[in-house]
Amino acid sequence: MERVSKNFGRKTALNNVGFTSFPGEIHSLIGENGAGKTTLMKVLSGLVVPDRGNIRFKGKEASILTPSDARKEGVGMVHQESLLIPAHTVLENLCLGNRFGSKGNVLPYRKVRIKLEELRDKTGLWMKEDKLIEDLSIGERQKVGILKLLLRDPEILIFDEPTSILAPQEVADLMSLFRRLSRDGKTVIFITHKLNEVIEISDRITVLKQGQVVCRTIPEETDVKKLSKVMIGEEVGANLANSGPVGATVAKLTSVKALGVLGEKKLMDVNLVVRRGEMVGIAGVEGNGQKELAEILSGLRRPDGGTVQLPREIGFIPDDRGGEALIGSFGISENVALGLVKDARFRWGPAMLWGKIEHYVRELITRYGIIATNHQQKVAELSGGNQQKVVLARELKRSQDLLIARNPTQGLDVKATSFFYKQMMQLLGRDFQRDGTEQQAGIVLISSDLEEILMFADEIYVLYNGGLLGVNKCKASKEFIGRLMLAGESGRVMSVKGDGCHEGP
Amino acid sequence: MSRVSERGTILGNAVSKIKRVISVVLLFTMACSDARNEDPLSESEFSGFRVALLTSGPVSDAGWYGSAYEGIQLIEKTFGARISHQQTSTPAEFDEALRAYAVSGYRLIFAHGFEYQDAAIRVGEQFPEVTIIVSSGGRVSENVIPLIFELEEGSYIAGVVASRITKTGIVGMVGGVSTPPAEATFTGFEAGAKSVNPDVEVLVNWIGSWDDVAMAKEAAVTLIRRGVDVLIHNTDAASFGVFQAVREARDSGEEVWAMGMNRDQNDVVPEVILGSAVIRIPEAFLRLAKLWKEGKLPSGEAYYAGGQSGAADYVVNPSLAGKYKPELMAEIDSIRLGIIDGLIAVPRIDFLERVEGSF
Amino acid sequence: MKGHDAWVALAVSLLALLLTVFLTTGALVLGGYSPLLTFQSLLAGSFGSLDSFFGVTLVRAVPLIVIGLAVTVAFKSGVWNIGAEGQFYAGAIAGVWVGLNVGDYPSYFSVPLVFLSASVAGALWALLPALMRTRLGVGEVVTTILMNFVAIHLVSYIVRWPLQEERGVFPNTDLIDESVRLPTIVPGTGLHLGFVVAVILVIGLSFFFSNTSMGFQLRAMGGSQEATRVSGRSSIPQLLIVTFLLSGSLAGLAGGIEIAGRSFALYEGLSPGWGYTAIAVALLADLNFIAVLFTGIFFGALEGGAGAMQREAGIPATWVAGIEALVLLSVLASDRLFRRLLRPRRKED
Repeated sequence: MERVSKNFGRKTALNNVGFTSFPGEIHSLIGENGAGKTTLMKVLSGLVVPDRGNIRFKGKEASILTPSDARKEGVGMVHQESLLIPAHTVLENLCLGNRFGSKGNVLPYRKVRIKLEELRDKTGLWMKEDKLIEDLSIGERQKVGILKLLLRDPEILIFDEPTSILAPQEVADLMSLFRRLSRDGKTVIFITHKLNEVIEISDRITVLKQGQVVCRTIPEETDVKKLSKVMIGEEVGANLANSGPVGATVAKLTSVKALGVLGEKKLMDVNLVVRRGEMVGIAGVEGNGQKELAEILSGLRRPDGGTVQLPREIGFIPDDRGGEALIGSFGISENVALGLVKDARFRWGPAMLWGKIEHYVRELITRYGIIATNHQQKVAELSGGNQQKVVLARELKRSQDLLIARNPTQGLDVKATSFFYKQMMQLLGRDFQRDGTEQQAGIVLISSDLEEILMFADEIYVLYNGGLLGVNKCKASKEFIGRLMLAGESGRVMSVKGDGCHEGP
Repeated sequence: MSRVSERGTILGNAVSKIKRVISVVLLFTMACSDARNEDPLSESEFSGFRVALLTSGPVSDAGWYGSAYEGIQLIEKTFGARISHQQTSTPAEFDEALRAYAVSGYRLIFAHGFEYQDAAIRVGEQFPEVTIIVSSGGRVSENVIPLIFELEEGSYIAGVVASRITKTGIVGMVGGVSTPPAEATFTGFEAGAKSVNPDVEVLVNWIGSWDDVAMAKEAAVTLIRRGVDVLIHNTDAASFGVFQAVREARDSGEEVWAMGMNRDQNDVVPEVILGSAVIRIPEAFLRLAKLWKEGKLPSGEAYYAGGQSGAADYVVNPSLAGKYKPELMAEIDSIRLGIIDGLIAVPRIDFLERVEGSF
Repeated sequence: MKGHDAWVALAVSLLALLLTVFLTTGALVLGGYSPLLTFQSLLAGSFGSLDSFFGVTLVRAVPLIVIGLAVTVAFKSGVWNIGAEGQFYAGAIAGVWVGLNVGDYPSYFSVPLVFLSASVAGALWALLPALMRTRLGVGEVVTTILMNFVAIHLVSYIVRWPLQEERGVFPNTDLIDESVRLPTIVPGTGLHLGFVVAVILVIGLSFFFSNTSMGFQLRAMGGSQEATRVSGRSSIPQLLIVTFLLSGSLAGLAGGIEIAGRSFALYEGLSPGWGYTAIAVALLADLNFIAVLFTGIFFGALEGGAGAMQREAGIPATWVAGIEALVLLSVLASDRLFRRLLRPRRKED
């Protein structure tokens, strides 16, 4: 790709970007949110038509105006959220969009099955074909998305942040799949935020910043620190205090049970104590009761058994940013106002004081550095990082006592992540300007990102199959917790916490 | 969606929108006004005989509404009148339609159905120069004239015929919506049947609809199963269901007959319909128009269209005339004369209400 | 609610008009009718004179606007209330019952009482689907439609038995007393106070939805029920009930207005499907309350003009229904077309 440029309105998304990759290589494309990574790859896969620039495959000029042009050239993309039909089986989903020359309305089941066998032999990737998509975990769904792409036998495979939702073991599997694909002569383009993964697997690395290429390098010549400096000039987790004084209990769950719609057990006998000034990390693969636990902790639902003590007001950062945290068709103001409807300061009787709210929101936009044209811009038009800042701006206001956060940094770049954790530290009362009089809050971090939990949490639990297993932080290794997340090995032995563990490293 | 600016301009927006609409409206008004309102009812423009018809059903029904349309067509042909018809869809627009005709110089309006009576009284009071004829109506005022069809007279004769033809001694009726005029026809039928044979049994089945063919067929089948062998109806489009049932019963070997109602239905299914109790709506309309034109239409009272004026009768199906014994034919003629002369009393329901106060 | 929306709407209606003129002219010529006379009567019948604009178009617009508001309230909040027809009849039944039995009181007492009872009845008619949705999770599309049939048959029963007119002959109620009827606001036309009520409702609801906390929460629920539950910490069942009751009471009120303003008695078939037409009114207005006022008037004009087409141009009723449908289709088609043209390109990451 040469001198590719793209403008959206007045905003420049790509500015004279050149990008080259070779068969058989794993090429990482990194950069902050809004740096232009996704746009560049959408240009390559025909989803976005560039204003300028050209694309060549194997030396030949290609005009890619539509996704089917790209498909003909052998380009395929695995999106962050695979577009699969939940109520259909794996096989049916795989058949959609893959005709294999079959005519009429007949789905090519037999041909797809044969192809799947071939793929299993070649790559080791395999899914039970008669399972319904809605019964699969996020990691498994991603596998289906990859299979769907591989069935088309593409030359270039683009993965858009595939690892942010996976457990460590699943990430390792994916990495080895990358290696096998590259050995077969395929080009793998890997978009990510996670710099250590980049160093580990890439053949080459391209860094984008504000729509321009700022660095082309190879892993041997760089490391995480250098890369993050190039990207944003900052290191992850720098200057963040790792522990602080712990205060009174703000939330307590005792033998909490939760049932699903059909009466199936979602949570069993969960006991949890959250104190002021501490961050409790709950690791686990999605679908093990996270949603239920988060909703009980944030007071959104009552447990089906056990007792719950919670503060009056609780901040909650849900997992599903587009579905639960924000209303995409609403502006920033109105999304923030979702957190103010019951706030007497912003109401006059039944009326909302929109003038006051907008003033407040403009203040928040400055304070949180939300990049938007104005406070009325629809949040669907914001980048993921800025969306999360809107959520954060709303929820921190009601987090004086307790904040529940589910996968809060998913899809965020390094800068936004570190901004988020600075805010967390402030909530916990650990920022450096602290004068000791501020009230400390407790935080529950429910995340599938194990590193995040290991780095920031004071207490670590693993949620597996509705049960909460305590983990001794001192002795916890990434591998051990990772195994616990996937296999749910008994954590009882590990729940004995060594004294002095919180004294810091 | 700006809050501040929206609240600031919400009124402004609304005002500007309203202004815009008003200007558009004025534009249309200027473009389309045809001096009608500035110069109401100028005689030069409205000279000539104008007759209007309102129906609340389609005139393509080959029945109640269709006959009314034939009626005003007959008036058009006979008097060279200018005619117009509107099908209304809700009682809420009756006033509007009547007023529109009155304003446009229609001095004789046929509102074909009792449902128009309240609106007719209201509009009639506003336009005293207009005469509104309400078919089967129940309210009378100076210029609102109910047109009462004495269908029960034809039904009475049909009852006599049915009683003479039946072999099982059971005759039946399928009714549409149970309204007083509809009930009157069946009372007449029953009285006719019993007048020649007090032991004959008469069964009735109301279906609650004028045009539900399937339901009518169902009702007819039920009656036939109970032994009815002569079947009359008072429905509109649903009558096809009755004839269908009778034909199917005949096909399976039973000797069952049907009778038509409202208009001459003898040619609908000629092989099963013995005859029809008819009202001749077109003729009645024509007669009314003639009286009105001559200024002889008595105001403030109902107009009865019965055997006397030839508007109600029983018509023998010519292709089945062989089924009538000569003495039955003679009997029909004598009963017809008897009704006209008032020697035979056909039961009637009177439900007229005289309206004089303001409406 | 953007500034150019009004201009878009205007441009759309003009384009639609041209399109329809083109299509119907062809059809009319083929059918042997005069296109010129047809369109002239359509316009003259809806806008041509004071009486046709105030007495026909606006009078016909009243129920469409008020029920259109009911539908807008529901759809804006994510509730698919298809039962406005039934709620209208429930309101009409209650309105006529109170109207007949209120006794001899001044208008300023009895008319509001009719309105109140009609609203309450409409709301109660919507309550059953509301409870089935919130308690049992039964989708409201089916339940509200079914309630329509119940209401229609209930009217048939009411006008034959409990509230049949004095003589017991015809299937309708007696006329309500003069003191319970709405005053005419433009003398010489049939335009009654109901139109003023409709305009007040438009302004009131527009204010309610943009400026009150409850209105905002309803709007948010329409935007995303999950986000409103999780991030707004609102009780969705409670908001759903409010929506159903508000929507139902508006449709019921429309029934009361029709009784007190136009028909003065309850008849079978009082509504020729306004509850469904109002869905088109609301959707064409893009669920904007102020725009409902204008789309309601547009539909009123279309129906009023349709009557004139029959009377003055001699176009049969079935043809008129076809032309009406054609006008509507072309308005909808060009509306979508304009929206697509004007939609700003989505910003990409």
